Amino acid sequence: MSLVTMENLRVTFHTFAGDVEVVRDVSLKLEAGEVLGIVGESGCGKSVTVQALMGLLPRDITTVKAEALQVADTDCKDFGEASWRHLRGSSVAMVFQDPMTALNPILSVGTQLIESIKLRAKRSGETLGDVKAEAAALLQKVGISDPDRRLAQYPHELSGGMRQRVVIAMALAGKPRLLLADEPTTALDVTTEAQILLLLKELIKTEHMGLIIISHNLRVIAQMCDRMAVMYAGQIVEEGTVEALLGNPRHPYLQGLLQSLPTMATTKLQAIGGQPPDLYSLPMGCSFHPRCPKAMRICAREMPRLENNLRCWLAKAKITPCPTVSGELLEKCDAYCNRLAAANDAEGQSVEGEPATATAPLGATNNTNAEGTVKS
Amino acid sequence: MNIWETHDLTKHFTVRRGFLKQNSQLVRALEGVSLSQAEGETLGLVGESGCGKSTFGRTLMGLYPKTSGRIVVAGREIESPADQEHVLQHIQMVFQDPYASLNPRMTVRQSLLEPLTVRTTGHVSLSEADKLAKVDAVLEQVGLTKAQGERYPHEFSGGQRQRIGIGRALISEPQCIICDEPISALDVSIQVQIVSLLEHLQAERRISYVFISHDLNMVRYISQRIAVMYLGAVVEEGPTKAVYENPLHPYTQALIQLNAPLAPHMSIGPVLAGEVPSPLANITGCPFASRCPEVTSQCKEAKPPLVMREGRKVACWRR
Repeated sequence: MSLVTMENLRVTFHTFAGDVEVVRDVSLKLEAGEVLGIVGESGCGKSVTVQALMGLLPRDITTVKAEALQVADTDCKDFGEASWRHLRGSSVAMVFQDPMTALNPILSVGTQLIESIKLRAKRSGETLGDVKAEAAALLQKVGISDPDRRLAQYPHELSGGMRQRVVIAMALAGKPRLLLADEPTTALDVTTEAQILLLLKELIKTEHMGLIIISHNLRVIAQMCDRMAVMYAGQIVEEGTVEALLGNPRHPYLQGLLQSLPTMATTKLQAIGGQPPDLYSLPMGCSFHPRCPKAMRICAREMPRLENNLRCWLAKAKITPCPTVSGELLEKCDAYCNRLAAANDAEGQSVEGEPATATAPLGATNNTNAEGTVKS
Repeated sequence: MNIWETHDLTKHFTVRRGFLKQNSQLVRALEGVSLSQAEGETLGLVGESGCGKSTFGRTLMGLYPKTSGRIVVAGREIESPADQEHVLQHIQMVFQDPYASLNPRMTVRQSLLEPLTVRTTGHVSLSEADKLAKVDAVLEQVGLTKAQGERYPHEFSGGQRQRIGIGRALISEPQCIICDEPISALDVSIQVQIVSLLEHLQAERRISYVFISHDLNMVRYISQRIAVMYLGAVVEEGPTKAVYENPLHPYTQALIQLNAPLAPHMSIGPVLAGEVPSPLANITGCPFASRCPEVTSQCKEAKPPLVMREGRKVACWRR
């Protein structure tokens, strides 16, 4: 059985500005010992997805729905707060972005670590040995030298990298089977980042945990993960092995992201136009289409399904968009769009192109690419 | 001619600690930095947090008073606060956080107009109508519409706010803009839009940039020259191509490897041991000695001078 099974997760926030669906139909699977990376821009729903795996979303203002939600052999679909509390820390643990806010500034490192150890013992009913020695051993495990002295220190006395090591030690205290890391190195410098990533990678091996790592930094994902999922506007748009996605990206959004990163040979950077969409007023059809250089008329009409780990009409319409379009051709386009939509409903089919004009580029009728829209 | 030069620029901050704050200690933020910039050139300033790259930008701008050393801006020695006006005419700044660097109670137009009205030199002769026309022209240059000028900062996204920040720097028609981490608060897709805007403005107006960033790949892309800083000192400085293709200082080598371009199969590393020493410490030898893989006894005894080697300056005893 998989360590994590999540099927069609939907998360809605109830805000003063109205209801907003921040995660739409996200399905994830993770085996023990496997590392999954989730990438996406701020506001794409990656943190919310992972928080749902720990029941961390506030119940009064969110609605979480999923067809299946299993974490570490436990069915958590209908969990209440009490059940989540039992699972948190023992089966699942989280490493947050900012270690200074994740630690309590008025308690010593030792006190906080021992609290986690005692909680675990209470849950599992085991008898406690020497908790201080165990805390010191945990610090040693995360690469902190002179652990006895460190146990008496307070978070402000430690450097950023050291604090993150303490946070990881606290996560390990409960002997979790699944570790979630939300931007674990974003607050750190590159030299410290390398130290922490190496530590996490070793721990995954020695403790045989599963790890889900969230990052906006593709390099972190490439260094750490076996598989990755790319999120955009609350949906997974492409998923697969790191080699496949970085070596041969299929979704135009991922292609655009990779082109946004300068390499040795870059002489002219290619920007993705426009801005991430406003979740309160998502565009019709594919959420990425207003920014997509390959958008077709069908993209503005209907949402593509996630098929073969890709959510894009280009996979279905096996033709290239044409540069110009006239009235007569637009009619043909609509007919073709109808066939595509029908094929979308009957999963697994693809529609061969007629004339290349059938999927006229969107720009011909709908020019939404300018970065000029402002929330009112 | 150089737009600005610094000679042995040093900046120490005093921190007070202990009971009744009786003990004072020195934070050595800048330790003798000598840099200069030519017209139309982009100088990349890289290093980890706390290395002094932002302090350098702010001290050069006169936002922090210097401790010692010389600053020359457009041929004039900057000595007293009275020279500040001269500096602002030639050098302007774009800050990291576009949310914090704009006044939330001023419309974009008011924010852009302010430098034109408060300055006592340069634009005094402009009529009100000319000033407003200038604001509109700048708005257009940074990719915003006239109508957007009437809006308040909270109505804009991060990328658009950074455009406003650039516009505000641009309106004084400076020769040099110091960009202090201008893209690190933005999403990747928006980062490229801002960098492209900076490039475009440079091509149009021959502005030079001091591009302060920890993103080495973006710095390589935008800069002609690069200075690597560590603990308040420049450890390597030279043409971007030379430094990236053949870094000489062990710290530069590590930074460049750590920022290696994305590839499907990447390993983590190289891992430098330890951490950056506290800037409170008074280090006699090479500041990098505590983490350097090639350290010798000489490195711990004396600080290496910045000397010319293979087309760039480098501060390392082993080179």
